[in-house]
Amino acid sequence: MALFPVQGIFEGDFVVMLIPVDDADPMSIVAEKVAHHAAGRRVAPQPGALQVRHRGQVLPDTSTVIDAGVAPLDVLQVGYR
Amino acid sequence: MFWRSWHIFALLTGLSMDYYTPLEHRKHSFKEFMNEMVVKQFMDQFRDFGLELPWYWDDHFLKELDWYHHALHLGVWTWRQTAWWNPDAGVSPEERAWLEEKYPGWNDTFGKQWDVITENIRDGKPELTLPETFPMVCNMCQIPLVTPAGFLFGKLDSPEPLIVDRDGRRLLFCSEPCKWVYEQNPERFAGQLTIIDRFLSGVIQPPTVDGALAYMGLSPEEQGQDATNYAWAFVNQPARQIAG
Repeated sequence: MALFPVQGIFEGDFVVMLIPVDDADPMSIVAEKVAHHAAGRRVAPQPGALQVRHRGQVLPDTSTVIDAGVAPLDVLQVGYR
Repeated sequence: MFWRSWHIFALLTGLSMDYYTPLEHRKHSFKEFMNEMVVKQFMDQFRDFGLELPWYWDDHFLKELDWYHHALHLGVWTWRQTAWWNPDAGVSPEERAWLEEKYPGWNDTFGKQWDVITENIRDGKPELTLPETFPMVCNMCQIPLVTPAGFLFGKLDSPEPLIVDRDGRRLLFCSEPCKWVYEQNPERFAGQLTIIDRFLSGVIQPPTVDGALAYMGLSPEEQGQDATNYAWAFVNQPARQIAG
């Protein structure tokens, strides 16, 4: 387990943010970590689960950062399903 | 040179004209000013000297006139602790109506983000308007990557920044012209580190917002605050008390 920086974009927000995650985090946790900095701050929260998109593909919730092949400072787009 | 100057100009003058100047004193929007005083003059000069317009003129520069400085304003206000002035939000109901008139679509994009910010302030939660992380920064212009705003405003095809991996280093760019400037002479910029590069390399300690503010030499007294202590959020609202 190690600290792992990614670029996070939350759907509806205006900026790309530095998001520190753990390389063992599953995508469900990664999504929450990105959302923490935007949902309820600049983007109105919505009911429903979040999803993570990487290089155009939606990643499974249980897939970890390492398993998903995410590289440091890759862009992860997070939004509501 | 024009491109990098444009980005700094948008950051400094765009905010001043469209958000900091009192409404009753505004004669032009920033976009109107740019079109009348900058775009026209440059185009006249290009024509007079027989020069072609820069390749990025129509598809990048002119498009950014609609949205770029609005995103920078939201960024400066959000990361206001890092500013040496007190940023005025400039989004009271009357100011928002003016912004929508001058920049159709502002309400459906930036307005929605300011709606959430405004509600947090009215609900007595100003801490939710302060950041707990940093924006990623362009390795050329050093300005935060606000590509998601350009995408929301319908001016960019993707919210993602441009990435160049070179010599084991990942470089990020806010726009095709910034990437192009870099690629003309990568060696020139090889040693240039953004604030985020310094953050990730461990130069800034502790690696927190407070650590970065200390690195910038900004004491709490020097850090920017909302210019009106959030008065704009309560225009036309019943009086409510808020913790500063």
